[in-house]
Amino acid sequence: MERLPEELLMRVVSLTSPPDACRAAAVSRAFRAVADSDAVWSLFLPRNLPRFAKGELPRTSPSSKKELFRRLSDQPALLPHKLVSMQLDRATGAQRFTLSARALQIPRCTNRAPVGSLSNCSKGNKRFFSEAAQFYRVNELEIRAKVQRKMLSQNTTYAVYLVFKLAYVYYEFGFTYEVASIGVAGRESTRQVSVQGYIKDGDGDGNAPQRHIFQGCRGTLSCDAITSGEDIHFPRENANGWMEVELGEFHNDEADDGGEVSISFTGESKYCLTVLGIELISKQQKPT
Amino acid sequence: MATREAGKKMIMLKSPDGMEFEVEEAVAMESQTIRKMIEDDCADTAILIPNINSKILSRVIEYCNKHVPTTGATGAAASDTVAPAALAEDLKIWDAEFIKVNRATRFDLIQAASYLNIKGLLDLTSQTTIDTISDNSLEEIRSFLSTKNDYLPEEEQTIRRENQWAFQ
Repeated sequence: MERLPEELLMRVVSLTSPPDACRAAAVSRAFRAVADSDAVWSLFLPRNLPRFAKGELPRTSPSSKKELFRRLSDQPALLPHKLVSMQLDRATGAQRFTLSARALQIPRCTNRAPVGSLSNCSKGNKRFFSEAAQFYRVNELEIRAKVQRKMLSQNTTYAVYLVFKLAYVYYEFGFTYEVASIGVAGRESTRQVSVQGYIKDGDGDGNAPQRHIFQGCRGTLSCDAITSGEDIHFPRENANGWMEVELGEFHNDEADDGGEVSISFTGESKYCLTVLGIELISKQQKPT
Repeated sequence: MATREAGKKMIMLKSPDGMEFEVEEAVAMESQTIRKMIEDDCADTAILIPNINSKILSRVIEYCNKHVPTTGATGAAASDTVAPAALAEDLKIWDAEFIKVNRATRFDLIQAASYLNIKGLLDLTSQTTIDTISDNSLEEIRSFLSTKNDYLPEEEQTIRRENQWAFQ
Protein backbone atom coordinates (compact mmCIF):
# COMPACT_ATOMS: atom_id res chain seq x y z
CA MET A 1 0.00 0.00 0.00
CA GLU A 2 2.93 2.32 0.70
CA ARG A 3 3.64 2.02 -3.02
CA LEU A 4 0.53 4.03 -3.84
CA PRO A 5 0.58 7.71 -2.91
CA GLU A 6 -2.11 8.78 -0.46
CA GLU A 7 -3.83 11.10 -2.93
CA LEU A 8 -4.22 8.23 -5.39
CA LEU A 9 -5.76 6.05 -2.70
CA MET A 10 -8.11 8.91 -1.78
CA ARG A 11 -9.17 9.21 -5.39
CA VAL A 12 -9.82 5.47 -5.54
CA VAL A 13 -11.84 5.42 -2.31
CA SER A 14 -13.90 8.43 -3.42
CA LEU A 15 -14.88 6.42 -6.50
CA THR A 16 -16.39 3.66 -4.34
CA SER A 17 -19.40 4.49 -2.12
CA PRO A 18 -19.99 5.83 1.41
CA PRO A 19 -20.65 2.34 2.87
CA ASP A 20 -17.53 0.99 1.12
CA ALA A 21 -15.42 3.77 2.60
CA CYS A 22 -16.85 3.10 6.07
CA ARG A 23 -16.11 -0.59 5.80
CA ALA A 24 -12.60 0.07 4.51
CA ALA A 25 -11.75 2.12 7.62
CA ALA A 26 -11.20 -1.21 9.38
CA VAL A 27 -8.52 -2.33 6.92
CA SER A 28 -5.58 -0.75 8.76
CA ARG A 29 -4.59 2.44 10.56
CA ALA A 30 -2.96 3.91 7.50
CA PHE A 31 -5.92 3.05 5.31
CA ARG A 32 -8.34 4.54 7.82
CA ALA A 33 -6.56 7.88 7.47
CA VAL A 34 -7.44 7.69 3.76
CA ALA A 35 -10.96 6.29 4.12
CA ASP A 36 -12.00 8.87 6.76
CA SER A 37 -10.31 11.82 5.06
CA ASP A 38 -12.13 15.04 4.23
CA ALA A 39 -10.76 14.70 0.68
CA VAL A 40 -12.80 11.51 0.20
CA TRP A 41 -15.95 12.62 2.03
CA SER A 42 -16.17 16.01 0.39
CA LEU A 43 -16.58 14.08 -2.87
CA PHE A 44 -19.45 12.06 -1.37
CA LEU A 45 -21.13 15.29 -0.25
CA PRO A 46 -22.95 17.44 -2.84
CA ARG A 47 -20.80 20.03 -4.61
CA ASN A 48 -22.48 22.76 -2.66
CA LEU A 49 -24.83 22.58 0.30
CA PRO A 50 -27.81 24.87 0.89
CA ARG A 51 -28.14 27.02 3.98
CA PHE A 52 -29.93 25.20 6.77
CA ALA A 53 -32.38 26.49 9.37
CA LYS A 54 -30.92 27.44 12.74
CA GLY A 55 -30.31 24.48 14.99
CA GLU A 56 -30.45 21.89 12.21
CA LEU A 57 -26.75 21.24 12.36
CA PRO A 58 -25.06 20.93 15.74
CA ARG A 59 -23.91 24.28 17.11
CA THR A 60 -20.34 23.14 16.88
CA SER A 61 -20.55 22.18 13.24
CA PRO A 62 -19.48 18.61 12.46
CA SER A 63 -15.75 18.22 12.90
CA SER A 64 -15.21 16.23 9.74
CA LYS A 65 -16.83 15.89 6.33
CA LYS A 66 -17.65 12.31 7.27
CA GLU A 67 -19.55 13.48 10.38
CA LEU A 68 -21.39 16.04 8.26
CA PHE A 69 -22.34 13.34 5.77
CA ARG A 70 -23.59 11.18 8.61
CA ARG A 71 -25.75 13.98 10.01
CA LEU A 72 -27.24 14.79 6.61
CA SER A 73 -27.96 11.15 5.80
CA ASP A 74 -29.37 10.31 9.26
CA GLN A 75 -32.39 12.62 9.11
CA PRO A 76 -33.66 15.28 6.74
CA ALA A 77 -32.30 18.72 7.64
CA LEU A 78 -34.64 21.71 7.32
CA LEU A 79 -33.77 24.73 5.24
CA PRO A 80 -34.59 28.29 6.44
CA HIS A 81 -38.40 28.83 6.79
CA LYS A 82 -38.66 25.08 7.53
CA LEU A 83 -40.82 24.27 4.53
CA VAL A 84 -38.15 22.41 2.61
CA SER A 85 -35.79 19.71 3.79
CA MET A 86 -32.72 18.01 2.41
CA GLN A 87 -31.37 14.54 3.06
CA LEU A 88 -28.54 12.53 1.56
CA ASP A 89 -28.90 8.95 0.46
CA ARG A 90 -26.65 6.88 2.65
CA ALA A 91 -25.64 4.39 0.00
CA THR A 92 -24.95 6.80 -2.84
CA GLY A 93 -24.82 10.35 -1.48
CA ALA A 94 -27.70 11.39 -3.78
CA GLN A 95 -29.42 14.55 -2.59
CA ARG A 96 -33.16 14.55 -1.85
CA PHE A 97 -34.98 17.84 -1.38
CA THR A 98 -38.52 17.57 -0.05
CA LEU A 99 -40.90 20.49 -0.63
CA SER A 100 -43.63 20.15 1.98
CA ALA A 101 -47.28 20.69 1.08
CA ARG A 102 -47.04 24.15 2.63
CA ALA A 103 -44.22 25.05 0.25
CA LEU A 104 -46.49 24.39 -2.76
CA GLN A 105 -48.88 26.78 -4.42
CA ILE A 106 -52.21 24.98 -4.47
CA PRO A 107 -54.98 27.48 -5.21
CA ARG A 108 -57.89 25.04 -5.00
CA CYS A 109 -56.77 22.97 -2.08
CA THR A 110 -59.75 22.21 0.16
CA ASN A 111 -58.02 21.14 3.31
CA ARG A 112 -54.70 20.68 4.95
CA ALA A 113 -54.64 17.63 7.12
CA PRO A 114 -52.06 16.21 9.42
CA VAL A 115 -50.34 13.31 7.78
CA GLY A 116 -50.73 11.15 10.85
CA SER A 117 -54.46 10.96 10.41
CA LEU A 118 -54.15 9.96 6.79
CA SER A 119 -51.55 7.30 6.90
CA ASN A 120 -49.29 5.51 9.21
CA CYS A 121 -46.11 6.64 7.57
CA SER A 122 -43.87 7.75 10.38
CA LYS A 123 -41.51 4.92 11.07
CA GLY A 124 -39.53 4.97 14.26
CA ASN A 125 -38.26 8.45 14.92
CA LYS A 126 -37.83 9.44 11.27
CA ARG A 127 -38.84 12.99 10.53
CA PHE A 128 -41.54 13.71 8.03
CA PHE A 129 -43.40 16.84 7.18
CA SER A 130 -46.50 16.47 9.25
CA GLU A 131 -49.02 18.02 6.93
CA ALA A 132 -50.39 17.09 3.56
CA ALA A 133 -52.68 18.98 1.19
CA GLN A 134 -55.98 17.27 0.63
CA PHE A 135 -58.46 17.72 -2.19
CA TYR A 136 -61.93 16.35 -1.49
CA ARG A 137 -63.13 17.36 -4.85
CA VAL A 138 -61.64 19.71 -7.40
CA ASN A 139 -62.79 20.43 -10.93
CA GLU A 140 -59.39 21.63 -12.00
CA LEU A 141 -56.28 20.33 -10.36
CA GLU A 142 -53.44 22.78 -10.13
CA ILE A 143 -50.23 22.45 -8.14
CA ARG A 144 -47.25 24.73 -8.62
CA ALA A 145 -43.89 25.09 -6.98
CA LYS A 146 -40.88 27.31 -7.36
CA VAL A 147 -37.41 26.28 -6.29
CA GLN A 148 -34.55 28.73 -5.82
CA ARG A 149 -31.71 27.35 -7.90
CA LYS A 150 -29.06 28.60 -5.54
CA MET A 151 -30.03 25.95 -2.98
CA LEU A 152 -29.34 23.18 -5.52
CA SER A 153 -25.96 21.81 -6.54
CA GLN A 154 -24.43 23.16 -9.71
CA ASN A 155 -23.91 20.98 -12.77
CA THR A 156 -26.26 18.41 -11.36
CA THR A 157 -29.35 16.81 -12.86
CA TYR A 158 -32.43 16.49 -10.66
CA ALA A 159 -35.48 14.32 -11.15
CA VAL A 160 -38.73 15.84 -9.82
CA TYR A 161 -41.42 13.69 -8.16
CA LEU A 162 -44.91 14.37 -6.87
CA VAL A 163 -45.67 12.37 -3.71
CA PHE A 164 -49.37 11.67 -3.23
CA LYS A 165 -52.17 9.24 -2.51
CA LEU A 166 -55.39 8.89 -4.40
CA ALA A 167 -58.10 7.39 -2.22
CA TYR A 168 -61.02 7.48 -4.55
CA VAL A 169 -61.00 6.92 -8.27
CA TYR A 170 -64.06 8.00 -10.13
CA TYR A 171 -64.05 7.66 -13.87
CA GLU A 172 -66.42 10.47 -14.59
CA PHE A 173 -64.65 11.29 -17.82
CA GLY A 174 -62.89 7.99 -18.49
CA PHE A 175 -59.17 7.73 -18.17
CA THR A 176 -57.51 11.09 -17.72
CA TYR A 177 -53.97 12.25 -17.43
CA GLU A 178 -52.29 15.31 -16.03
CA VAL A 179 -49.69 17.57 -17.55
CA ALA A 180 -46.43 18.11 -15.71
CA SER A 181 -44.04 20.80 -16.77
CA ILE A 182 -40.67 21.93 -15.53
CA GLY A 183 -39.17 25.25 -16.56
CA VAL A 184 -35.63 26.37 -15.94
CA ALA A 185 -33.65 29.23 -17.49
CA GLY A 186 -36.28 29.83 -20.16
CA ARG A 187 -36.47 26.18 -21.24
CA GLU A 188 -39.57 24.16 -20.48
CA SER A 189 -40.14 20.43 -20.69
CA THR A 190 -43.61 18.92 -20.51
CA ARG A 191 -44.84 15.38 -20.11
CA GLN A 192 -48.06 13.46 -19.55
CA VAL A 193 -48.52 11.88 -16.17
CA SER A 194 -51.39 9.89 -14.69
CA VAL A 195 -52.32 9.49 -11.04
CA GLN A 196 -55.02 6.97 -11.98
CA GLY A 197 -52.69 4.03 -12.28
CA TYR A 198 -49.35 2.78 -11.09
CA ILE A 199 -46.39 0.69 -12.07
CA LYS A 200 -45.45 -2.39 -10.17
CA ASP A 201 -42.05 -3.94 -10.71
CA GLY A 202 -41.88 -7.51 -11.98
CA ASP A 203 -41.83 -10.32 -9.46
CA GLY A 204 -38.09 -10.73 -9.75
CA ASP A 205 -38.14 -13.42 -12.42
CA GLY A 206 -36.96 -10.94 -15.00
CA ASN A 207 -40.51 -9.81 -15.68
CA ALA A 208 -40.83 -6.27 -16.92
CA PRO A 209 -42.59 -3.72 -14.70
CA GLN A 210 -46.34 -3.86 -15.22
CA ARG A 211 -48.75 -0.98 -15.55
CA HIS A 212 -51.93 -1.16 -13.55
CA ILE A 213 -54.96 1.06 -13.48
CA PHE A 214 -56.83 1.70 -10.25
CA GLN A 215 -60.25 0.17 -10.14
CA GLY A 216 -62.78 2.97 -9.91
CA CYS A 217 -65.37 3.19 -7.18
CA ARG A 218 -67.92 3.71 -9.86
CA GLY A 219 -67.05 2.11 -13.16
CA THR A 220 -63.82 0.35 -13.97
CA LEU A 221 -61.33 0.67 -16.76
CA SER A 222 -58.83 -1.74 -18.17
CA CYS A 223 -55.36 -0.93 -19.39
CA ASP A 224 -56.83 -0.84 -22.90
CA ALA A 225 -58.32 2.50 -21.99
CA ILE A 226 -54.89 4.04 -22.52
CA THR A 227 -54.37 4.58 -26.19
CA SER A 228 -51.23 2.73 -27.05
CA GLY A 229 -48.45 4.97 -28.21
CA GLU A 230 -49.37 7.64 -25.72
CA ASP A 231 -46.38 8.25 -23.54
CA ILE A 232 -47.85 8.57 -20.06
CA HIS A 233 -45.74 8.33 -16.92
CA PHE A 234 -47.14 6.32 -14.03
CA PRO A 235 -46.29 6.44 -10.33
CA ARG A 236 -44.67 3.78 -8.19
CA GLU A 237 -45.37 3.09 -4.55
CA ASN A 238 -42.54 4.03 -2.19
CA ALA A 239 -41.48 2.24 0.98
CA ASN A 240 -43.84 4.39 3.09
CA GLY A 241 -46.94 3.61 1.08
CA TRP A 242 -47.07 6.88 -0.85
CA MET A 243 -47.17 7.10 -4.63
CA GLU A 244 -44.31 8.87 -6.39
CA VAL A 245 -44.58 9.96 -9.98
CA GLU A 246 -41.73 11.54 -11.91
CA LEU A 247 -42.78 14.91 -13.29
CA GLY A 248 -39.59 15.35 -15.30
CA GLU A 249 -35.99 16.29 -14.82
CA PHE A 250 -33.76 19.30 -15.31
CA HIS A 251 -30.09 20.14 -15.28
CA ASN A 252 -28.88 22.85 -12.91
CA ASP A 253 -26.14 24.26 -15.12
CA GLU A 254 -23.75 26.69 -13.50
CA ALA A 255 -23.70 28.69 -16.72
CA ASP A 256 -27.34 29.82 -16.30
CA ASP A 257 -26.98 32.17 -13.42
CA GLY A 258 -29.43 32.11 -10.51
CA GLY A 259 -33.19 32.26 -10.93
CA GLU A 260 -35.64 29.54 -10.12
CA VAL A 261 -37.07 26.26 -11.32
CA SER A 262 -40.82 26.33 -11.86
CA ILE A 263 -42.75 23.11 -11.54
CA SER A 264 -46.40 22.73 -12.44
CA PHE A 265 -48.87 19.89 -12.39
CA THR A 266 -52.32 20.46 -13.84
CA GLY A 267 -55.25 18.27 -14.75
CA GLU A 268 -58.96 17.58 -14.59
CA SER A 269 -61.25 16.84 -11.69
CA LYS A 270 -60.05 14.65 -8.86
CA TYR A 271 -61.57 13.26 -5.69
CA CYS A 272 -59.79 12.61 -2.44
CA LEU A 273 -56.29 13.35 -3.62
CA THR A 274 -53.74 13.86 -0.87
CA VAL A 275 -50.45 15.53 -1.78
CA LEU A 276 -47.55 15.14 0.64
CA GLY A 277 -45.12 17.25 -1.34
CA ILE A 278 -42.69 17.42 -4.21
CA GLU A 279 -39.25 15.84 -4.16
CA LEU A 280 -36.13 16.69 -6.13
CA ILE A 281 -33.58 13.90 -6.25
CA SER A 282 -30.11 14.37 -7.70
CA LYS A 283 -28.95 11.89 -10.27
CA GLN A 284 -25.57 10.47 -9.48
CA GLN A 285 -22.60 11.23 -11.56
CA LYS A 286 -19.22 9.99 -10.63
CA PRO A 287 -16.61 12.72 -10.30
CA THR A 288 -14.07 12.57 -13.11
CA MET B 1 15.56 3.33 -33.80
CA ALA B 2 14.35 3.61 -37.37
CA THR B 3 12.88 6.87 -38.50
CA ARG B 4 9.11 6.69 -39.01
CA GLU B 5 7.12 8.19 -41.85
CA ALA B 6 8.20 11.64 -42.86
CA GLY B 7 6.18 14.62 -41.63
CA LYS B 8 5.55 13.23 -38.16
CA LYS B 9 7.41 14.95 -35.39
CA MET B 10 9.21 12.51 -33.12
CA ILE B 11 10.02 12.92 -29.45
CA MET B 12 12.68 11.06 -27.46
CA LEU B 13 11.69 9.79 -24.02
CA LYS B 14 14.40 8.57 -21.64
CA SER B 15 13.88 6.32 -18.63
CA PRO B 16 16.15 6.64 -15.56
CA ASP B 17 17.71 3.25 -16.37
CA GLY B 18 19.09 4.72 -19.59
CA MET B 19 16.69 3.39 -22.23
CA GLU B 20 15.50 5.75 -24.95
CA PHE B 21 12.14 5.56 -26.69
CA GLU B 22 11.41 7.46 -29.85
CA VAL B 23 7.68 8.16 -30.12
CA GLU B 24 5.46 10.34 -32.26
CA GLU B 25 4.78 13.67 -30.64
CA ALA B 26 1.02 13.01 -30.79
CA VAL B 27 1.50 9.76 -28.87
CA ALA B 28 3.67 11.39 -26.21
CA MET B 29 1.09 14.15 -25.83
CA GLU B 30 -1.48 11.64 -24.57
CA SER B 31 0.36 12.46 -21.35
CA GLN B 32 -0.77 15.87 -20.11
CA THR B 33 2.53 16.20 -18.24
CA ILE B 34 4.59 15.72 -21.43
CA ARG B 35 2.15 17.85 -23.43
CA LYS B 36 2.79 20.72 -21.06
CA MET B 37 6.57 20.29 -21.36
CA ILE B 38 6.32 20.30 -25.16
CA GLU B 39 3.99 23.30 -25.21
CA ASP B 40 6.26 25.18 -22.83
CA ASP B 41 9.17 24.39 -25.12
CA CYS B 42 11.05 22.54 -22.41
CA ALA B 43 11.49 19.55 -24.65
CA ASP B 44 14.10 20.38 -27.28
CA THR B 45 15.98 17.15 -27.18
CA ALA B 46 15.13 14.16 -25.02
CA ILE B 47 12.69 14.21 -22.13
CA LEU B 48 13.82 12.37 -19.03
CA ILE B 49 10.94 10.62 -17.28
CA PRO B 50 11.98 10.21 -13.65
CA ASN B 51 10.80 7.31 -11.46
CA ILE B 52 9.44 5.23 -14.32
CA ASN B 53 11.63 2.35 -15.37
CA SER B 54 11.98 1.22 -18.98
CA LYS B 55 9.72 -1.81 -18.54
CA ILE B 56 6.83 0.34 -17.29
CA LEU B 57 7.56 3.21 -19.67
CA SER B 58 7.42 0.88 -22.65
CA ARG B 59 4.02 -0.38 -21.50
CA VAL B 60 2.78 3.18 -21.04
CA ILE B 61 3.95 4.04 -24.57
CA GLU B 62 2.21 0.90 -25.84
CA TYR B 63 -1.02 2.17 -24.21
CA CYS B 64 -0.64 5.69 -25.66
CA ASN B 65 0.11 4.29 -29.14
CA LYS B 66 -3.15 2.38 -29.03
CA HIS B 67 -5.20 5.25 -27.63
CA VAL B 68 -3.88 8.18 -29.65
CA PRO B 69 -6.75 9.52 -31.81
CA THR B 70 -6.31 8.16 -35.32
CA THR B 71 -5.65 11.07 -37.62
CA GLY B 72 -3.48 11.53 -40.68
CA ALA B 73 -3.21 9.37 -43.79
CA THR B 74 -3.35 5.86 -42.31
CA GLY B 75 -5.69 6.83 -39.50
CA ALA B 76 -8.27 8.38 -41.81
CA ALA B 77 -8.33 5.26 -43.96
CA ALA B 78 -8.87 3.09 -40.92
CA SER B 79 -11.75 5.12 -39.53
CA ASP B 80 -13.43 5.19 -42.96
CA THR B 81 -13.83 1.46 -42.96
CA VAL B 82 -14.43 0.75 -39.27
CA ALA B 83 -17.44 2.10 -37.44
CA PRO B 84 -16.61 4.14 -34.29
CA ALA B 85 -18.61 1.77 -32.09
CA ALA B 86 -16.57 -1.18 -33.36
CA LEU B 87 -13.38 0.77 -32.71
CA ALA B 88 -14.46 1.50 -29.14
CA GLU B 89 -15.34 -2.16 -28.63
CA ASP B 90 -11.94 -3.17 -30.01
CA LEU B 91 -10.22 -0.73 -27.62
CA LYS B 92 -12.13 -2.17 -24.66
CA ILE B 93 -10.97 -5.68 -25.48
CA TRP B 94 -7.43 -4.40 -25.95
CA ASP B 95 -7.57 -2.59 -22.58
CA ALA B 96 -8.81 -5.73 -20.83
CA GLU B 97 -5.82 -7.66 -22.20
CA PHE B 98 -3.43 -4.82 -21.41
CA ILE B 99 -4.40 -4.77 -17.76
CA LYS B 100 -3.80 -8.49 -17.23
CA VAL B 101 -0.58 -7.91 -15.29
CA ASN B 102 0.60 -8.79 -11.80
CA ARG B 103 -0.16 -6.51 -8.88
CA ALA B 104 3.30 -4.93 -8.63
CA THR B 105 3.17 -3.94 -12.30
CA ARG B 106 -0.33 -2.60 -11.88
CA PHE B 107 0.72 -0.35 -9.00
CA ASP B 108 3.71 0.81 -11.09
CA LEU B 109 1.30 1.60 -13.92
CA ILE B 110 -1.02 3.53 -11.58
CA GLN B 111 1.91 5.62 -10.36
CA ALA B 112 3.15 6.20 -13.91
CA ALA B 113 -0.35 7.16 -15.13
CA SER B 114 -0.67 9.53 -12.21
CA TYR B 115 2.73 11.17 -12.72
CA LEU B 116 2.33 11.44 -16.49
CA ASN B 117 -1.31 12.49 -16.09
CA ILE B 118 -2.88 10.08 -18.57
CA LYS B 119 -6.51 10.00 -17.51
CA GLY B 120 -7.60 6.97 -19.52
CA LEU B 121 -4.74 4.86 -18.20
CA LEU B 122 -5.31 6.05 -14.63
CA ASP B 123 -9.01 5.13 -14.83
CA LEU B 124 -8.18 1.75 -16.34
CA THR B 125 -5.53 0.87 -13.76
CA SER B 126 -7.51 2.22 -10.77
CA GLN B 127 -10.69 0.34 -11.64
CA THR B 128 -9.47 -2.98 -10.22
CA THR B 129 -8.56 -1.26 -6.95
CA ILE B 130 -12.01 0.38 -6.82
CA ASP B 131 -13.67 -2.99 -7.49
CA THR B 132 -11.52 -4.68 -4.87
CA ILE B 133 -12.51 -2.20 -2.18
CA SER B 134 -16.19 -2.44 -3.15
CA ASP B 135 -16.56 -6.17 -3.56
CA ASN B 136 -14.10 -7.97 -1.32
CA SER B 137 -13.70 -8.88 2.33
CA LEU B 138 -11.37 -6.80 4.51
CA GLU B 139 -8.86 -9.66 4.44
CA GLU B 140 -8.87 -9.62 0.64
CA ILE B 141 -8.47 -5.84 0.53
CA ARG B 142 -5.48 -6.11 2.89
CA SER B 143 -3.87 -8.77 0.76
CA PHE B 144 -4.52 -6.78 -2.43
CA LEU B 145 -2.94 -3.65 -0.97
CA SER B 146 -0.21 -5.68 0.76
CA THR B 147 -1.08 -3.96 4.01
CA LYS B 148 -1.29 -5.55 7.46
CA ASN B 149 -4.11 -5.28 9.95
CA ASP B 150 -2.36 -3.29 12.68
CA TYR B 151 -5.45 -2.90 14.90
CA LEU B 152 -5.91 -4.66 18.20
CA PRO B 153 -8.99 -6.91 17.97
CA GLU B 154 -11.03 -4.62 20.25
CA GLU B 155 -9.95 -1.56 18.25
CA GLU B 156 -11.15 -3.16 15.06
CA GLN B 157 -14.46 -3.98 16.74
CA THR B 158 -14.83 -0.35 17.83
CA ILE B 159 -14.15 0.94 14.34
CA ARG B 160 -16.64 -1.47 12.85
CA ARG B 161 -19.23 -0.39 15.41
CA GLU B 162 -18.56 3.31 14.80
CA ASN B 163 -19.13 2.79 11.09
CA GLN B 164 -22.24 0.66 11.46
CA TRP B 165 -24.47 3.66 10.67
CA ALA B 166 -23.51 3.49 7.01
CA PHE B 167 -25.24 0.13 6.61
CA GLN B 168 -28.54 0.92 8.36
